Amino acid sequence: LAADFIDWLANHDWSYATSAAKLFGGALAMGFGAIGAGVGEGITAGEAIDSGARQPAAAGELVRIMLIGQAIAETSGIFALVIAFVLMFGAPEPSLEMVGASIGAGLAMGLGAIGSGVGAGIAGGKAAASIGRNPRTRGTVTMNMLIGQALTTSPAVFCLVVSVLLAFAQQLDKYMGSTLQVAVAAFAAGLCVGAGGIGPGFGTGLAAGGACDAIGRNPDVQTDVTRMMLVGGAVSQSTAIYAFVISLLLILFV
Amino acid sequence: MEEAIVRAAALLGAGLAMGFGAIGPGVGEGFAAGKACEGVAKRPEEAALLTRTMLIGQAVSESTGIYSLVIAILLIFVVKG
Repeated sequence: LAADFIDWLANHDWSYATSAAKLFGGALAMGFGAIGAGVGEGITAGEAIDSGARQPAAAGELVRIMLIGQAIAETSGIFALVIAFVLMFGAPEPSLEMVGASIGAGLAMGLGAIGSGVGAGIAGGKAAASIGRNPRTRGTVTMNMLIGQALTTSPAVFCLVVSVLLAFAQQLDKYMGSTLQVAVAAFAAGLCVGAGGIGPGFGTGLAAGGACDAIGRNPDVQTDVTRMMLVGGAVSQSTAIYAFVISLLLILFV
Repeated sequence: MEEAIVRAAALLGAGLAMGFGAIGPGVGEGFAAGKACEGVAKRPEEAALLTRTMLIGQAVSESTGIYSLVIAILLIFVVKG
């Protein structure tokens, strides 16, 4: 029975399934990818409004920091949009491998954008709250927010790399392993880096948010706090890096 | 032929293990880092102690992520089907 199944997999005409999978992958990328940016930017806007209600005089500053913070929280959503277009309008070779790879690419970018979007939004929100509390700290807080958000976005960059590798992989079957293995490995690679990016993105956002909050309260220790944020955020990224490595192993060495 | 199916399942398992296993440590370690930053702002003179405590706490929080990594590597390289 298993032999028949493997034979059927190898000889089936996968052209319809591949077309369906690339559209489905595009939907997964943008559907999941919209979650993070949406929630994150909402958090930023919420904090800015809260702060503005208490300090109407700082409204101009708050709108400025809110828009900068939201623009960066949007980055991972834009990555997802790009991957969705690549998948929808690409023409992958019809094969079981590309069915796995297309769905994997969509999941990678979609899930991977969640953590980064929410995390960057938390950092932006805390920065707005800090500036509302003490508008004189806007320079240091904005700089810290930008550094923190850049770190927060890195899991989404790992996911972008894996998605592009999967979406443009035309010759996955060149590598060793049976058709079924290669297809499942491509899907698993996408799921791995995507799901693996959620926690680190969110966690680094918490670190960056804590740092923005701290600098707002005590601007004199900006250097120490930014260093603490970078060290803590880097440790928090480690699991995203493990997931990235496992997913590259699945793509390249299976 | 059964081997191909077992091997495919092992690879899927590796992706699931590392992917979902990475969520918890990432959030937890970030939470610790955020609190440490707030601590430094309140007591700048204790920065060294706070850094040490943060890193120890994060190392413990990392452990489950490392278990996931080990399991994923075992599933990729050791399970032959």
